[in-house]
Amino acid sequence: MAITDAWLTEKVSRRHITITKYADYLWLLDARGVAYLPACDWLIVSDLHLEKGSYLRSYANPLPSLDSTATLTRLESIIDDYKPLRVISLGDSFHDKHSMSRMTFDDRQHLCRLVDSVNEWMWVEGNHDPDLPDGIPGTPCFEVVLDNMVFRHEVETSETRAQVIGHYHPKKRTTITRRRYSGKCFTNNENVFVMPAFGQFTGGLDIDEEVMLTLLPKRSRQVFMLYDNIIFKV
Amino acid sequence: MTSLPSVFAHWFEQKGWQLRDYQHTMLVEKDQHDCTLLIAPTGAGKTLSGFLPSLVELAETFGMSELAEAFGTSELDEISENQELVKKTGTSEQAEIKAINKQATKGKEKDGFNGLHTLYISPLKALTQDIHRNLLQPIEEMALPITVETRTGDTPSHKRQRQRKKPPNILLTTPESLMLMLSYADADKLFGKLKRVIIDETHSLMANKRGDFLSLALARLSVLSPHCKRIGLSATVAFPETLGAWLAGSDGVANIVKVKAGEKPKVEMLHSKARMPFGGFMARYAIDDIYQAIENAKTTLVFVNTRAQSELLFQMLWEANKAALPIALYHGSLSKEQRRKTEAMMASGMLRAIVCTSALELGIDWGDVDKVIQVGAPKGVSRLLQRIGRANHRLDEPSEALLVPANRFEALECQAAITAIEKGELDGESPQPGALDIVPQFILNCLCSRADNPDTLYKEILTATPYQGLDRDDFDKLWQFTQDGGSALNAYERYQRLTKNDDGTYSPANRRVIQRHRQNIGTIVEAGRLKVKRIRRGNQGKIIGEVEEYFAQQLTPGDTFYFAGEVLRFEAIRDMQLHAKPAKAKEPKIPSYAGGQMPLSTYLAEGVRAILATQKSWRALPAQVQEWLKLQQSFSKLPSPDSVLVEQFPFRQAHYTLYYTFDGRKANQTLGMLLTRRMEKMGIKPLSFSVTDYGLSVASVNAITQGQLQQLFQPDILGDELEDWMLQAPMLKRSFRQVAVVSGLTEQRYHASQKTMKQVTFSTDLIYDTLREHDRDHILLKVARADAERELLDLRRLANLLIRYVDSATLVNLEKPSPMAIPIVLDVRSEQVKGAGAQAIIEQANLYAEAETMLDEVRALLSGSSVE
Repeated sequence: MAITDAWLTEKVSRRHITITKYADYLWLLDARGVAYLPACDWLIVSDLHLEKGSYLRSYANPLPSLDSTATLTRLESIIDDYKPLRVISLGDSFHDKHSMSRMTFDDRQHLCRLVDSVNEWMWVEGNHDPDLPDGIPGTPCFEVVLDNMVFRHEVETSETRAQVIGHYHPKKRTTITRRRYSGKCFTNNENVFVMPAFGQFTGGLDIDEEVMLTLLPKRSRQVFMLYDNIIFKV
Repeated sequence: MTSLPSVFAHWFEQKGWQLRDYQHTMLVEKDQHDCTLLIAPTGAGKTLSGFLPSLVELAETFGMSELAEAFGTSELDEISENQELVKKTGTSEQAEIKAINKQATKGKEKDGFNGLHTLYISPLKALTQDIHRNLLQPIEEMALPITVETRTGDTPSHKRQRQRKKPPNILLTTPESLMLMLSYADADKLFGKLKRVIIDETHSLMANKRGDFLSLALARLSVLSPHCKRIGLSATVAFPETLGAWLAGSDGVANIVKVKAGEKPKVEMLHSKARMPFGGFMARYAIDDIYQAIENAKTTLVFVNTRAQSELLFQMLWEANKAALPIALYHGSLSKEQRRKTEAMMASGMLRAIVCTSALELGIDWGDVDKVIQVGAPKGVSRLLQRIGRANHRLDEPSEALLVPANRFEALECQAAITAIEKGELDGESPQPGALDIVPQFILNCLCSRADNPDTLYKEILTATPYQGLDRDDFDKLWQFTQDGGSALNAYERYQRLTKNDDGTYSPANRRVIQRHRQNIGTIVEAGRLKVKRIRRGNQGKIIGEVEEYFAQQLTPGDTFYFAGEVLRFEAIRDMQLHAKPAKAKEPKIPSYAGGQMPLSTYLAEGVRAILATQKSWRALPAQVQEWLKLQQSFSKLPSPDSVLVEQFPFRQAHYTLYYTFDGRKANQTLGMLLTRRMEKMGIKPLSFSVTDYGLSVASVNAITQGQLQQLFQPDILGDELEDWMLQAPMLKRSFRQVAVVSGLTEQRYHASQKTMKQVTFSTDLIYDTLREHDRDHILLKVARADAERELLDLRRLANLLIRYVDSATLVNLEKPSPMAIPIVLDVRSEQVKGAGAQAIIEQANLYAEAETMLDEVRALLSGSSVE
């Protein structure tokens, strides 16, 4: 743990961080798109989609493959701020099976360095990366459990414990005094907590779309929207 | 009339026509000038004069070859010196001529002029069809053995193949198709014998990308056929010499032939009894008056400025159409078949009126139009004259036109335009250096045809007037980009487009490069379009036109919208087609089209300022407009020519400042971006701004003071703020998108599949970010910036404004919006500003206290852990 009272107070006052409670735990929601559990010093990040750029490129989309570099650089500065005991990457960390073979040498080094810098790095499997690529440090797993809370990539409808998931890339549009804003968001109710996607080329699914509404009906959900480097509750 | 062969003279006589003086001059002097620019008002028989030298030459060559046969020589060149000899063969006896011509038709296969003699280039596809029809008529009537064909994007491939093998004598084409033909390996053979190239509507090709594009194609053409003569046909322009310079190329001189303008048109503004609105663009208030005008005329063209307006106005006219007059609709997004049908009906006099956009502005001959109605602001004098010229296609009678302003500001603009027409003044566009993104496309195009080296191509490009100042350094970078994408992109195989040959020349790297290039020639980056299919039953139906992708995306099944003059209900999007069924109106939407807006010309802006300044001139305005101005005068102030009026008032939980600049949408847009940036720095917390052609309104959390205004409205915002902002502005991304497509960085089309604009946008935005980060000096960034400055920002105009009014902005504080402010603040399309202002607003909505209490809990946790 590296964060201090002063640091946090400033971050909160500048709206870079907001705080919420979920499954009896206090959560720091960082406007950069990650969540932090101060009680156990865990950092949660979801949907990195590394090498999505090079994947699309192989389908003739002329994209530069620098998305991984950008994602890793952003993640590094966050890890540097929190220096967490454990990082949970909540699935879809790698865009596809062949991600690693396409990743540049520098990016691969960067990734390994980053994972090694943390005491424990959990790779939760996602629909894009059911198998962790070879040669990547860290622990692959299907889910992580903490008390009455379970961290998984996709939602499990029969689950009775509180779930923390990724997968949906939630996004919110809102109008405040006649002006429209839109951005990625954290959204949750009592049973489900959905993380925003962190990766560079990840789009978003509006939380008012039907799929999201069946998961989190309007009445029960709360939404924390990310906009221009600040986070606020909608 | 010595120069006119008798068969022509006879035909003219039969028609009861006479060769006009200037037509005669052009014919007599046809071999004296390498380049001729004919400037004539519409209805002066421009097109015929352009073709006459070619027709006469072709007819003569043919006659000669007949002769040649008789003399037993086949060398055409020898004989062409003995033109006199040929003349003698033409007798005044029509029968004899016909007989000779019949022989000729037989002999044509062997002799006659073999190959392409004249190339006609028109900026509009539709125009080539029209000219084709008009040209075939005299050729048939005179039984001339001349072949004429069209070649556009619509030409089927078998016909294209044949045209390459056996080109017609006269080919009618567009700039894009010409460029494509120039990319063929046998381009030199195809164009080798070319004698003349005719460029129609030359005025529409000045100072825009398409013109730059064509000037390069012409430069190439001159290399392939050095003796080819250029003929430009143009409507009246403000600066003929500049246009001449464009046409002739940087090493030529144009001989300018000017035809005196006919009668000045009679232009009136509508003085309606109905209440004229403050804002809006639809002129609903004037529908009855417009309908009345249509009823009183024989045939009317109703011009509007955008396709959306045309759809709506058409609906409103039909609602008012008590006498069930045949009124039709025409705009560029309707299907080809629909448009052809309307054209045919119009030509045969079956229609009383057509509601149309600029698609009908150029060239096409419409027969007996006796009235033109312009609904909405004219935006420029030349444009308005062009439209008015569509009426009464005869020189000796004045055209009649009615201007219908849609709101009170537009009434000022209409009046300014009327004054200008009375004075005989025009607004002109000054020439601009050629757009650089076309250069890579041109380089590749030339290399597709034959291998070449940079030095020769550089020299070739310099001969195109817009590119005469092209820096060798820039050229080399553009070459490098064409070759391998430049430093940040050269790692990618797909950007390796050129390979060096052993002799030092370059060729395209492989066939795919050539194929990709040929499919993407042109400068028009289309917003994504979806075809609209009008479903009858099941999936059966007819394609009736196109709408833009982003409009289609906002529809949900069951939504209704106006299209092609009826109400349709959206069903689904299938295979890049929008399926819709005819339906009853239920709050129909109107498809909007990007890029439909035209900026107010500087000249007209001055006119509007002048009207506001001289109260005497108000008398010509409709009474309601006068009232409005007087109200403004007493409530606030009127904008004056020697200072910029700035009003400030509270409105909708924010402070609004309104700058009356009258400098056009683009300049105002840029000013808005820059002002809000500086306001952000000064802590005024701007929220958003919106622009019209007349002014700019900025909403902010805090109000500004006169002192702050002086700091804001300073030319130096073009320094710091511009730099700052340019680097991250969406504007640059927007122009980069265009540049990326035109320069071949990314394609819209590959094989049969057209990429959606969203895909193109997605990938170009990412490439832009990459280049910005890893190769700041990449030539395409420079090009995008230059492009943004010229196409989107209008920096020149803004700089003039700021310098002219330095320290003379007057702030007027008001309690509520002034009469003049209303139309501007009501404009819903406002641009949001990120920053302290937005955050302040968000803060009001934030449930902040909750986080505060939990912060203490976290603090407890933190102190607990630090103890551990």
